[in-house]
Amino acid sequence: MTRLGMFANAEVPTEALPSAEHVDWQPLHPHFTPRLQVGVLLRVLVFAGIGAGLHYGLATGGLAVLFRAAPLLPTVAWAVFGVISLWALLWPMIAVPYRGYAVRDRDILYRSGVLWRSVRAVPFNRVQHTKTDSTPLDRRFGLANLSVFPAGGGAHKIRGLGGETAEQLWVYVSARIEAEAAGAMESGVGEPA
Amino acid sequence: MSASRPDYGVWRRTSPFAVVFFLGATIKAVAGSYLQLAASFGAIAYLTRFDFLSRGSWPWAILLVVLAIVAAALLRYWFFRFKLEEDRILIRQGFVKRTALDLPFDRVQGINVERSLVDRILGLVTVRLDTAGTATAEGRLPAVNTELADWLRTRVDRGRRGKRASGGEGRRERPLGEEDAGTEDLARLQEGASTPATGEVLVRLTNRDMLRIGLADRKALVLAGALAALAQAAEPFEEAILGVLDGLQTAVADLGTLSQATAVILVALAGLLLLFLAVIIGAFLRHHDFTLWRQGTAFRSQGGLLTQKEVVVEAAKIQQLKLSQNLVLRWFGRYRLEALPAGAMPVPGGENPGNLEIAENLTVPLLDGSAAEQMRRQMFGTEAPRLTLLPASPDFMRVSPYYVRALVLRSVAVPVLGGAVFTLAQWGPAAIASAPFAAWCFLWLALSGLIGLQSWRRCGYLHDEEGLASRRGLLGSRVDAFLFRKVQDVTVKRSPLQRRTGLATLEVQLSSGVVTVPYIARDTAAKLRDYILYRVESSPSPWH
Repeated sequence: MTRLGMFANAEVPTEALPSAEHVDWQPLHPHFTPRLQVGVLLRVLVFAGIGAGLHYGLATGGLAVLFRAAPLLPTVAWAVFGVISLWALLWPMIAVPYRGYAVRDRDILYRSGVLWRSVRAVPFNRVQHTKTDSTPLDRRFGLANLSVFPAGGGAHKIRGLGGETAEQLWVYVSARIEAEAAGAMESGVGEPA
Repeated sequence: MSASRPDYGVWRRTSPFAVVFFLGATIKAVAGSYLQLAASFGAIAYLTRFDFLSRGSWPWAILLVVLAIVAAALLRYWFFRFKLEEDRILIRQGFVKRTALDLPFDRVQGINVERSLVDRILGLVTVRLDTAGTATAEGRLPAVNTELADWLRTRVDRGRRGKRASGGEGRRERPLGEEDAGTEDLARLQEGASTPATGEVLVRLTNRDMLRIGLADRKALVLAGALAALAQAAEPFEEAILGVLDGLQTAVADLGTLSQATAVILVALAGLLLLFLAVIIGAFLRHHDFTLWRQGTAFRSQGGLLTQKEVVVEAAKIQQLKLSQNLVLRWFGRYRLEALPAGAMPVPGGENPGNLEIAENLTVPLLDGSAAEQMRRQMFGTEAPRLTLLPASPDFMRVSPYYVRALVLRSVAVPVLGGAVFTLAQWGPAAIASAPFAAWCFLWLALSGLIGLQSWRRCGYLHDEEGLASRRGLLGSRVDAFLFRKVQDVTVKRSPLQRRTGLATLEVQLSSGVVTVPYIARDTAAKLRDYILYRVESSPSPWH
């Protein structure tokens, strides 16, 4: 009865629907790019250490024959490593500006991708739960990540928010989820036949 | 009928025959986790030529393993106890890691029942309580008697109805020990324990249908592959087989009427016949006497020859309908329908994928077009009346022809590049410019062009105000249909090619999986996305 009472079937002019095309995209925190670069740098250093060890081991060990046979091999390997590392270090500067999020009254949007661009929208009344987390490196830069879990599986993670922003968003999203759940309760959670 | 009212508040064990169930479960677990280990040990033993057989200790090792498994099964049986209470069932299990499951009846979404041959002889069933994802442990009761299963079923059914009657306020309050369970349960029980289902029969399959299911089974191909692999592995027995074949051949030659080629054909035909026999027997085993009922708000299917399986899915829990047709089914003019319930739901507060409960699909292995449409109307109710599940429907709209280009690029670029690298490494740069390489590239291009064109022709979508259907396929075809209000999230994707041509791909996440509509106009995709969001966000009814 309650549902029938609330039910209305006004025609929806599709042009009048709020569009997710032209929303006010919020950029990620300015510290996020350097944080990603530091992360890459740490990994590059680790790999460089392993590479140097390997180089030394091979040059002095039993495989020195190989080095004499192909004297260019280590130079080429290090050059490839250097190019890849440089690219990985520069990539965040290109990619981060393409990422952004927008919080609306009823859903949260997240866009990403430089070449393959995608915009994902999660309605609040489909979110199961939400959480924030941060690695030690994130905290050094004052950053945190927000994850939103819809029931379809696959968390929807927004990385690189300011610590306070993440906390505020978490509070907002949690409140919205609760409000939506309460709204659903009021209008009757009866399963339709 | 004393069993119609089980004792409340008493911890009990299931029938001792449950040991068989636990034995199976233990063997499965051991096989799952230790098989790789055993295989690597075997490989090491083989490589090091370590001769187990001559050491004399291996029978003891095997005996020890068997004893350990039996002991584990016995222990698991002994520590598996359950208790019925007025509004809930409690299950305690495990001897190393103990788990306690407390399951209120109004949280149970459906009860699935499985009867193996042994179960059926002894009048027992295995009950699975389906809980729409909030369960962290399995609600499975092995080898309980039929009366208890029926009682549980009526109890859960009533819990659901009670929940609706009280407007979602939760379970109906009933004083402990009240006897109103009696009449309804008794009426049900008197209908007979083995056929508890009443209500409208939607689909019933005959023996001829079993034949069709068997012939259309994809496993026929897999089996053929397995046979081929077996033939490879049978090399050591080659001589014996050749001997038999020789014998056959001389017999054939003795007949004097058949040539050697005919003999080969005969052997192949016999193999094929055996294969078909196997898949048809398989179809009988799984789906014999398959029946689908509508029972109140739920759909219930039952089928199987030796092991009878029963699946119950609430209409409200169905997220997506999948109608598929492979070449053989197309020849028969039949389809296969799957109703996908909410699955893989994350447990609140936990991220452990082990906590995901996958609900069972309701599958109708064979049905014709009109039955499929009837099923859609039954399962979607009055919603989305203009959708269709039939892939041949003229209502489906084509996607952009650029889809062909994208598919060809995707399937050509990698093999051609790989081929070029391989050619370069193998025969040097001169070979790249050679005629064979060009011919290979051309052939590959032509083939992927054909595949791309056919995929594009199969690809289509169709929507009305309340739902969407997406058609895909290459040789066969598949239609996925869902209601907008069941959507979890929506993504619009644009590749570089799509951005140049004003196109986009719409990706819709449901609790049962992802449905994609590729290469539609960017405006259409954006509008559809906004409209789906509007339907989801303004929908007063829950999605499961």
